[in-house]
Amino acid sequence: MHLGDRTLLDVLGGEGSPAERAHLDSCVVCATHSARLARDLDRVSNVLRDGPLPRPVARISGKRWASLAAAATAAMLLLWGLWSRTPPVQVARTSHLSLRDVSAAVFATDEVEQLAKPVRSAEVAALEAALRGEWPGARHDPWLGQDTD
Amino acid sequence: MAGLLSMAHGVRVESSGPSYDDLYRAHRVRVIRLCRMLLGDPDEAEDVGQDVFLKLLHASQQPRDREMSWGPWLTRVAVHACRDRRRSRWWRRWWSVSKVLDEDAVASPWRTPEGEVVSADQQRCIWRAFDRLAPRQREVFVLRHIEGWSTQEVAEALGVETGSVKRHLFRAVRHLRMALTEAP
Repeated sequence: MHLGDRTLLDVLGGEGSPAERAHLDSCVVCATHSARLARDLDRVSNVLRDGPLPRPVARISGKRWASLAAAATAAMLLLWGLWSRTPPVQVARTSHLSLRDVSAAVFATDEVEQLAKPVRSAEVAALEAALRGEWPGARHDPWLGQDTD
Repeated sequence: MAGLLSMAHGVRVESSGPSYDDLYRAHRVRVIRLCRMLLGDPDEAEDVGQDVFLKLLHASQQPRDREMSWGPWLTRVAVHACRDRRRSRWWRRWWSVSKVLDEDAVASPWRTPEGEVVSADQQRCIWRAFDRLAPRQREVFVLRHIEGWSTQEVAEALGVETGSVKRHLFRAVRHLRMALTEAP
């Protein structure tokens, strides 16, 4: 059973267990892996610590452009939605009213005429018969009392 | 702020300790480079570095232990200052133009202090991979392998468990090694 990279990293950092260190001393495969890991770590650390520093250059990334474009599109859609829901402004109609129109509207006589209409006598007779408990119009119905079979 | 810090040269840190001037000269390049690695931006690194040395100026006027080790103190302050900067200015960095590594800036092979030659491609790959690491992985790698702190010291400085430090370190090393293998 060989040591994994995580364990080798611990051992290289001087933090492995005695058993792990003993295994590293006796196992050629693990010793080779450990040496390779140590060489890579030294190389990376040296470059970062002492190597020439790369200078960054300014650039607007495509991802940023995409998010800006998406935000602009969403804002435009929102504005369009709000605009389309607004009711159109109603233009006041300018029509000339005469005193005759006003008078006809205020003093309309339709309902008065309806109230003043005379009640027909047949309707009065039916009402009186109903009050007496008779069937309205039974006396005058020619079909009543005849055999209809 | 640079003017204020330059005026501060000559201030004695304490009666028998190093002067502010000594500490500034001894640690300035290291602290600025540390900030550059953690932030990825030289301008911000310079700015945060000035903040760190301003804090050193204030701290140096307080009574301190004679055996105070200012190097680790500066490193801790720099790491926390970088983290604060990263958290407080994320929107500003997002809004402003992004900065990517100039591919031509590292154009020639470089010889390590041990005499090993690292090609320009490998340098570029290392920096690119390092800039892509998560902030916590960067902090852990820098403190553990650049500053040479122990896992316990890193955990105490960052306020995390040692297991968390090991986990972040392992991931950082894996990414950086992958970058080395990808380099032509």
